[in-house]
Amino acid sequence: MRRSPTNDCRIPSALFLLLGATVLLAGCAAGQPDSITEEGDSVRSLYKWVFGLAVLIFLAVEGAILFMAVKFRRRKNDDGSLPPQIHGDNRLEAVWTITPLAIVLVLFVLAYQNINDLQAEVPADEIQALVDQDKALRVDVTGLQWVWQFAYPDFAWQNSEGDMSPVKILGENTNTIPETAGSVPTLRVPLGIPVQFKLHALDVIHSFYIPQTLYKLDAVPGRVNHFEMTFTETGIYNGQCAELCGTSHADMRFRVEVMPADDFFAWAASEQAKGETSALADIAAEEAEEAAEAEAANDDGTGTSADDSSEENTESATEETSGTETETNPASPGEATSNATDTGSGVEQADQVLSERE
Amino acid sequence: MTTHTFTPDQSPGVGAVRVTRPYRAVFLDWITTTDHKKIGTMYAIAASVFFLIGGILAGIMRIQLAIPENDFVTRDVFNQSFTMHGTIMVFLFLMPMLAALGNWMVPLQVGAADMAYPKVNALAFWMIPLGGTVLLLSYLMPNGPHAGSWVSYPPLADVSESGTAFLPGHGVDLWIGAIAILGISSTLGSINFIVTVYKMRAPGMTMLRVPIFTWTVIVQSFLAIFSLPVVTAGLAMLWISRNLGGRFFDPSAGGDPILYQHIFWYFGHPEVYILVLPVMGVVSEIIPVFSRKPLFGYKAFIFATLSIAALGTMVWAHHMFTTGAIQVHFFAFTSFLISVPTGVKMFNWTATMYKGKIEFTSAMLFALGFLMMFLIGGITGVFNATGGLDFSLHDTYFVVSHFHYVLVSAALFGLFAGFYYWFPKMSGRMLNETVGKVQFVLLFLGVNFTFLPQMLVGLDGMPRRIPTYTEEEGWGLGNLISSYGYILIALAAILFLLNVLLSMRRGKISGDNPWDAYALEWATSSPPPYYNFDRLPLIRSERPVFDENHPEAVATGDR
Repeated sequence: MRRSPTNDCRIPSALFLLLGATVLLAGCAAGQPDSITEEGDSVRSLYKWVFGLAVLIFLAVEGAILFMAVKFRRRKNDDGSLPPQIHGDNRLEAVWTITPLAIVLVLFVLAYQNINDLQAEVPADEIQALVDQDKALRVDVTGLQWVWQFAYPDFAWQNSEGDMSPVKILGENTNTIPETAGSVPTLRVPLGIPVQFKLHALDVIHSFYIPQTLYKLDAVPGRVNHFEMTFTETGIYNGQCAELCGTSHADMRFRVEVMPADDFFAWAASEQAKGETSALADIAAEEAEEAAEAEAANDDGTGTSADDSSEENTESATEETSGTETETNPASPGEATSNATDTGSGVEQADQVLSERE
Repeated sequence: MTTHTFTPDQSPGVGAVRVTRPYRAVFLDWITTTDHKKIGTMYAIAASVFFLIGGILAGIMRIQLAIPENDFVTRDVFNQSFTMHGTIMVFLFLMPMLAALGNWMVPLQVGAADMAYPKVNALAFWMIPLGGTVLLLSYLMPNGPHAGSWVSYPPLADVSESGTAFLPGHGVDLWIGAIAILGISSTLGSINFIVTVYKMRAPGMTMLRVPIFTWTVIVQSFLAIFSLPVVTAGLAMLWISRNLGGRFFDPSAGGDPILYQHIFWYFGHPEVYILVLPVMGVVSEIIPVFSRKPLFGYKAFIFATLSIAALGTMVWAHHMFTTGAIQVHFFAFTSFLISVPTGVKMFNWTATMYKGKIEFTSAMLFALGFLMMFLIGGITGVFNATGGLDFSLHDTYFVVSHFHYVLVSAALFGLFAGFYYWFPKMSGRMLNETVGKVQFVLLFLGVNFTFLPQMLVGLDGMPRRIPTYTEEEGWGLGNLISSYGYILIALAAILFLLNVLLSMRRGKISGDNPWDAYALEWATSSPPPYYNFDRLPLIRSERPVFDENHPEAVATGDR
């Protein structure tokens, strides 16, 4: 009759104890990073609840398995008789159906509030007023293979075409911390006021992820996703693309510098002033050029080339990635006659796609 | 007590036939066979080969990630490795390996002579090596295999507006072809299982006397029939988009990349249960036998299995919370609900051991290992289900750790348990128990060393699918430990392979029913003759062989 040479419960006992110790160690280490946003604090507190319940359930069930396995092992002096053939107990089944159900319903109530916290946003008609008073900020985030670009639509100036050029942070805007590969832009955001992010993708799906905010959202072609955060800690934090986007996905990093609000707005205003100055210079140069060309045209007697010579912003997404930031890229007259839709920044392109769909 | 005592000369076939037949005849016999047992064996062999390939790919990734800023492989090779690792492990290891057990055991457990459609069965099997070959051929293509992960989201796996592919070459196309072939294979196999169980059960075997493993295979089969054609259709759309300008997922042409994600995950989440349910069935066969008791709550268990399957088709969008296109509350709620029937199963397994006389065979140890590891997988799933936490955890190593706790516990603990339990029935010989216990210890340590650190670095924000990370991020130690853990898992797998190869020839002769087990497969000889049964015991419960061997047993409790 079946008799294995050993019926040793040392293996299960030892492993179960080992597992318990490991889990306790892991439990102490298992934390998410400290959150740097108000929304992250909400996630953090949900995490504590879920983690606490998880540890309790883990210990209870693993404990029960361990207890059953060791306590009801076949003893050495076993007579070979059958143990009681218990087929089930409907009351017990009801108990351990209803108890987990109650637990997950409680968890769901917590999770429900947390989801609402994460999805809460300043209403669209109020945000403009807040932005005007420097009590909120809007950021356009654009993901493209394999770099992030950030633009502040509320800190913009008119370029020579009459379009608004926002203060932009492009991928080649390297910072002082050395990196292995890719260019790492630093997004500056103010402390303590709502920051509304709009996510755009130019090619494939990317995901905007700052681990310390305990939040990520995908940038999906054809959609503009948006979310709001209020940062609560100053400092410089890492961010990274979290959705596989091709070969250099891992190099698609960025940094977030959370600054006191006053510092931020002073910086943004100075960037805007710089942009205005250079735009004015561009416009002056252009007018001079136009005048010269008009003169030449008069000499030719054609008089139609004034429009052609206007500088179209023809930078494409790929040029931006390769690092040529040329807001006023002179184009050949033949190509430049056309549409403004092909030109402009990535954000404008994505918006264009959207409005076409609508 | 009555027993099936065994002496070698009564055995039909152990070691007697092989010698006399020429290799050519043996070869022809195997490639033309429609015998469910031989097909099952071939499934197992094919799955093992692919497991080794998938395991080597995992090794490449673990070496690359062991230290920060490593350059063991290029970014492209790394991306290809995790894509192929995921695809191979899901479609070419786990599904065929479960099909191996299903093929072997479902006809035996219902007392049938073979599957309902033996030729369809052979066809379904031969599509596995075909699909695998198509997939691996992509290694010979100019730009190598698919590098867009096993989910293959467009636009990355698609072409851009101007028609150039983001992933150049034909890796994605071959991958689509392979998944289509493997999906059709599984669909055929599933139909076969369902018909076999519905039409070919032995006299007396009502549906509520069908062994629990067979029950889980039926439910798995229904899930496969519901979900696999959906992904095949989605991948056909992707192929048309790539090659014929279909633009189904291109927003500039009115398409939507999110549409693909809905299609994929409508298959992708049930797929998890396709992989796990039969393993739960295996464990539910083993724990009662080695506790010397019936499964606690047989009917509740079937009901829980059906509930998991039903709920499993309603939760797919929890993989898509961060797309911003999902009603998070609803899918958080349905995802939470799944933990209820899963919990019922956990409690039933635990209660089965209550007042038992537990024997710690290798099969039982692996089954217990499954319970313990699966519990971790289940609990970490609740974190993701909350929705809010998922915005932090999605696409990090936390998720990688979570689903490896689920799938490795299924793929390794559950399947090892199944093979230690059923190998005697399949071969007539026992696997070495001492090796089994060493292997269990290695695997238990290996799995936790590999995947627990991944959980911690994931909580800390390490995204998945990245070939490298910088030192300042502080993920180096966790990844290094994880890579050492891989070695332990690999050792356990190699030990198992050696154990099988040696035991096939030299293992202890097992006899027909070495475990004094319950279900119908133990009523025939080991290995069974090609027609399976000379006689069938009277079937008056889900444990006919037990009833026959233990007429003295008195049933108590609610049935």
